[in-house]
Amino acid sequence: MALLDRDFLARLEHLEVAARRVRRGVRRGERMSRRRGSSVEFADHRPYAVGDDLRFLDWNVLGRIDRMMLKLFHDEEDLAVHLVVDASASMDHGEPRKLLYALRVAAALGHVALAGQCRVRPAVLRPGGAAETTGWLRGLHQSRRLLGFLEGVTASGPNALAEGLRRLAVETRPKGVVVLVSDLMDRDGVDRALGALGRCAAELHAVQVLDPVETDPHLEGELRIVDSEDGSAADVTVTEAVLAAYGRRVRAYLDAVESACRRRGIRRIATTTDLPFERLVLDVLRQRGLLR
Amino acid sequence: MTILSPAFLWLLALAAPIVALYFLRQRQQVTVLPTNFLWVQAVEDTRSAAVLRRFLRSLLLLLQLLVLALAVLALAGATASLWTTESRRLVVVLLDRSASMGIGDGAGGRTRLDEAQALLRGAIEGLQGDDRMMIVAVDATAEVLVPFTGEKDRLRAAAGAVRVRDLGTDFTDAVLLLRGQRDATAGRVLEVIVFSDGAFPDPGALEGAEVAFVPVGTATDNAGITDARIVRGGTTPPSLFVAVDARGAAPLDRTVALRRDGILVAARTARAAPGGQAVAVFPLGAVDPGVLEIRLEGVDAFPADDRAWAVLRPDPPRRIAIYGKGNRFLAQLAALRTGADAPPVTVATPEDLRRLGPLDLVMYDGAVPDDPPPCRAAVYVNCVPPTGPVVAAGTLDNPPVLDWARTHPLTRHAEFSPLLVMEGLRLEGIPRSGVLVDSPQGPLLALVSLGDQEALFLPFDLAKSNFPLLLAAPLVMANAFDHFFASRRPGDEEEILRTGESIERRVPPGAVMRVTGPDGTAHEAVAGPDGRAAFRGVDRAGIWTLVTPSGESVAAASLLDRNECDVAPRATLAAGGVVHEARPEAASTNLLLRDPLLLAAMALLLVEWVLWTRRR
Repeated sequence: MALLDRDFLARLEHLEVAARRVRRGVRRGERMSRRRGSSVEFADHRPYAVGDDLRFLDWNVLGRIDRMMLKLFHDEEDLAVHLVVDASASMDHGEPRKLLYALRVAAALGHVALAGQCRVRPAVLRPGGAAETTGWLRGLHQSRRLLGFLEGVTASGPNALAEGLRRLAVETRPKGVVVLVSDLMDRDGVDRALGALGRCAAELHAVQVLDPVETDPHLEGELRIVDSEDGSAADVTVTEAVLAAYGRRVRAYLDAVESACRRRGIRRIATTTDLPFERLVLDVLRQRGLLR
Repeated sequence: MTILSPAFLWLLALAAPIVALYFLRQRQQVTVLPTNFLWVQAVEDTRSAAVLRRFLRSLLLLLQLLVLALAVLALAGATASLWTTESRRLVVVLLDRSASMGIGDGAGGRTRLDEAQALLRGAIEGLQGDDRMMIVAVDATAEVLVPFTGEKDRLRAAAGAVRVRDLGTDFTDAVLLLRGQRDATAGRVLEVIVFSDGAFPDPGALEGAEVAFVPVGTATDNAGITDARIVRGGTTPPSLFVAVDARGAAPLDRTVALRRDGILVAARTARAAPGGQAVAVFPLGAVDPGVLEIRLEGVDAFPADDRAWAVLRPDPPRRIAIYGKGNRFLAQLAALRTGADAPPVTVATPEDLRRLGPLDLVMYDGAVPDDPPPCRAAVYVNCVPPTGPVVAAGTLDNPPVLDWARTHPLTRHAEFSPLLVMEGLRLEGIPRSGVLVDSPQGPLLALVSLGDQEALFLPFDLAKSNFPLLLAAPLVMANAFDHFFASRRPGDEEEILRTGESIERRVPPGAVMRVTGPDGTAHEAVAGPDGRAAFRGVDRAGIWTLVTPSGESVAAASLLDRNECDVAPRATLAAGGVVHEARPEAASTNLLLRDPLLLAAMALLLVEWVLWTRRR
């Protein structure tokens, strides 16, 4: 199943990933770097030193004030974009499935990033914290590989958000932009999980994908609610009072997630799967500054 | 509490599926959600309410079972007794089973008797402890079905076995019976419940009894045949007179049809104002003897009185004898008889007279045997019977005619002023009304009823008067024969019989008359020493078949009752000048709990709905 159709991919190529801070890249890219480099955009002067490339000597300054000044130019370097998708069993719910929605978000962001000559590293969190990844991708021609990788992702296993993010932070020390796409539903809370991510020197985004039944459930009667991740069951007589209590609990939990994200400088973008995906990408993500 | 229809209690088995459904409903529907920890927290938040919900769940099951129980009890006819007193009660139920109780004007076509039986069953179920009840079925007479007893099964069986009979209603026998019962109650109050539509004459007072009149029925309009007679004149052919009454508010405009052996013979239109009567006359001169059916065409509330039957019989042969030495004048006068099948026989001795067998008329000329044969008519000429009220107390000596009855059927159009009598017997014991020709010395002509015999007295010797020469002589004798024979007399086979009357036939003493009713029921009647067999159980309208040693014959019984024709249920019961208001609730000694139970069930359903809604 194709995550994104051709027309939509074409529309995505007019966007780019917005990074508030320029991070050091490893390759020349289309992104203005703070490092002085060899682009055509003037940045500053500095006194000439032995060994400097005479091609950058500012002859006009030498002629006017008789001092050898070297012209410095902005360097253009690439942006590292980490796309982290939560593929725990809890994501395999809803219509459309939360995982599918999350993968499409990741695919769209990845395609935008590849189109912008960014380096993209998709990663899928698995139980135990291990992550499936394709490694770094660069160039629009890698978009097909990216999409192929994401299309093969299936949901399984318990939530491994905390361990997965910790290992991501330790092993890859991500810089650039990290986008976590997850429902951020963790029995133990997301504070610990986001704490590991917060220590990264990267611009952090969290796209929280929820199913409407999680925020506004239309349930009634005598139910045995089974947790899709750990299989635990809870007998619940769904009444108005219980629904109201659940609503309060959901709001409190989401507030806690928002609070945890803020503390760690993570920009949280919450959505539900009933929001059209195109509208999320083209409107919401742009409004929230992840794309432009 | 008593259950009228215990069979419905099997419906209590529905409790099993209700409980099963309850527990099935209690089985949670498994729903897999991404996570459930928030639900667990929400349930924890509402834990205090959960206890209440569990209680409510049990309460809802309890309410459902209670609703089922109430509904089943309502269907089963649960009743509660309103008789709570400790004293022993004596209840007499008078259950009308007359023809009008067969009117199907109740709910679903139920007859009035059905309604009364249902009410009676309720009253039976209300008996408590030492209470006793007696059931008396009443139509033209009263029949004790069950004497005082507290055995409900017996009472129920008796009440259920009562069937409508084609008879009128007369509570007189029942009242007499109750008076006897009242004396035997040792001072206790006798409660009398009368289940009837009330169409019966005042039966007399019921002192010392608490009378509760429970009327049944709703229909008020009806037309019916209330009388039918075959009338014969001396010279004219017989005619059938049919009276049709219109009761209620509707006028009468219907057709009276006469059929013989099912073939329409004639029809007449009967019209009358509401409450009026119409008479239809059918000449029968051209109708052969046989079974006639009179039918009031059309449909009304009470079909039983829309049909009547008659058996048109040929005039019976009359046998006449003259006892005496022989009297030319008397013989000539006897020749004026009607319906005689043989000339009068003149005999001179009692033995000869007895050898003649049954006679219809004996003309005693100057002497009467000491033991005269039974005979329904007699003419005593210058003599009196050996026994009886009429005696000869002296003689007449040229008595002048003082006066005569000018309108009497025997002396009408006759002139007696020329009558001369030289001598005769002075009669005593003649009632004033029986004197037809009077003189200062005593009656000269009298008609007297002597028990079963009608007797015409001519207390003088015909040879010593000018009576045989007068025109009055043949007129009086012809009129006398008409009087004696024109209408059917006791002993004749009846032509029209009212239900409740007896069928009598002359058979040898000790012989058996077998009687088969219109519904096929067989009966027997044994003849007494007088050579008459009487069957008194005519309770069905229609054709009854009789088999006697002399052969097979039929009798036609019809309702022909004006009281029964008036089908409107009465609002009161008049008994001995005391008016008892209708008290339908009197039969509800047992309160039928159907309505309260159903109301309670509905209320419980409402409570359950409210609880369910609140729970949600």
